[in-house]
Amino acid sequence: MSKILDLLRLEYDLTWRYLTLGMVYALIFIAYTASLNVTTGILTLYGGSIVYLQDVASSYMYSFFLLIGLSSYIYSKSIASQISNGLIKTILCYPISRRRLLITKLVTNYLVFLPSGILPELYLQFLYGVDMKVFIALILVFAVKLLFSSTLAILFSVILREPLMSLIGSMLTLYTFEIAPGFLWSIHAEKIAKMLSLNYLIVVLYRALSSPNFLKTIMELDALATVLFSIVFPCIFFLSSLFLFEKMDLD
Amino acid sequence: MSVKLDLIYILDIFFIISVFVIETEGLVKFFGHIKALDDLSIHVPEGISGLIGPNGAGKTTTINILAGLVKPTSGKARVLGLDVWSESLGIRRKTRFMLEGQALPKSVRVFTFLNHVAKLCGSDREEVLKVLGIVGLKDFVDRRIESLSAGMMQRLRLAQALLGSPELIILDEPTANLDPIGRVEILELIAKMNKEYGINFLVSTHILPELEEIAGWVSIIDKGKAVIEGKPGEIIPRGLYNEYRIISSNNKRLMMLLRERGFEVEDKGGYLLVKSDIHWRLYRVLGELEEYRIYVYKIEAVGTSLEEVFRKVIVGE
Repeated sequence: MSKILDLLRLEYDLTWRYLTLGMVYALIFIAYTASLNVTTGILTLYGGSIVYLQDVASSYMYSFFLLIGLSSYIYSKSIASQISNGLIKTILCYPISRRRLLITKLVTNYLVFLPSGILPELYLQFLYGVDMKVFIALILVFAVKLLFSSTLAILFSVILREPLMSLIGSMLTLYTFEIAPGFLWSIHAEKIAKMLSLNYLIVVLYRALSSPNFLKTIMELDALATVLFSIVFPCIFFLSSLFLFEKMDLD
Repeated sequence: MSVKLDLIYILDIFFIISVFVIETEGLVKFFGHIKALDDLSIHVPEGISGLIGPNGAGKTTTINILAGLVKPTSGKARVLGLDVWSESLGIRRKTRFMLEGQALPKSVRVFTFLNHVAKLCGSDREEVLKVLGIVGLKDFVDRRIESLSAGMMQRLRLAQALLGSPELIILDEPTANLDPIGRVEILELIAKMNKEYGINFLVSTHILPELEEIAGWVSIIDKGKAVIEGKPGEIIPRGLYNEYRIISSNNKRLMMLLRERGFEVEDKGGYLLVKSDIHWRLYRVLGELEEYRIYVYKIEAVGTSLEEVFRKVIVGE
């Protein structure tokens, strides 16, 4: 256990500096606070009505684009940069398995980013006393989205091994995933749009949390595919990254 | 009969494990279409050994394979009796590496970095302080790594390789970026660590005379193949390389000072040709001359290119 903590500390020291951390938190906080105007406006008007919850989520998640950019940057710095400048080789000369190293990178950076999304939501809760179920749904979806963007950024970093290219690659892919549901909705492919829309997941989670039977509600909302998509895809991304990272030559 | 054969087999295994700390058999590595290693077989015994070869001979690829960073295309390699790919973690528990131009986390402070390494290697801060003293970095503990000179970074690379009480340390070009006195200090340190703590060393270099004094075994490789292996005194006659070309900031003054110290020196116009039987002696004297503010820009032993070594030693010219 202490060895895992040592590795987490090392990863933190290698990737983060106080200035970087401060800037990341400040930018995310500003973006979220700015989106609060829209969000709270909707919440105040409709009292968190389910009909408007997706609008709330969408407005709130605009700032997630910023998070996508920042998390992609951090993972490309933590993995692709370290592969290209040879720092990964230095670390792997010590008794650390490749698998453990990659898991540490995911966990450390994920844990550093997570409060940056939760804190503004706590602020929202403190200011306007949002329905607790909305609050939980927003945090859960934020956590899922962060995991999605993190694992995708790791996969790009491992495949491309070059910081700028992996940053561009992961950002473009994440942007595509963000805008895809809207496009699919416009061409009447609602089922696939629902599946790919993590914002729709907020509605699903809110309803499921409000109902006595969590699983039954998810099934009734025809949202099992959405839930599976949000869990399975990050797993596929990360397992693929692990597989490639364990096999790659670090010459 | 069967018992006898088994016994021979067990003795054979025991002999291999106890005698060779590193062993490769028919190692081949392709990078795309480029063949970096071509059926490389080397056997490195306990003690201090040298892996010598010109640039592009395959030294770094071999060390990367030994560190488990690169997977061999075919062939076998064992370090301390463990397979380099399937048992790499076990090797890295007992072995430390100093890679050529090893990347260091530039924004981290010297002590913080070494403390992290110590924890990962099952060591503690007391050992970090001790190692910092050994490599001469005790006054730089609070400095960020990016602010260190190239020579100090090289010492830091060596420091991280000394942590965690390893059985074997593999060093790739450890004297690169060091001034003459720094080179001697590092080589003397290697000899001292071997003598006092019984640590085995494999030192990769393209400067053959550097290892003459300390190595008990030398493996010479070229174009990805082993050329010759053995004790340096047996395969390379001592004093084969006794002439050095030196270019300094003040050749005339340096010539005078070296002559005062008993060296035969000729001014060749642009550089000095110095005769010295022992590589280290010349380096030590050059180090002592620092007080005269004469800067040595270049020093190279005449006849130490591997092509010349092969011609003289192997072909017998």
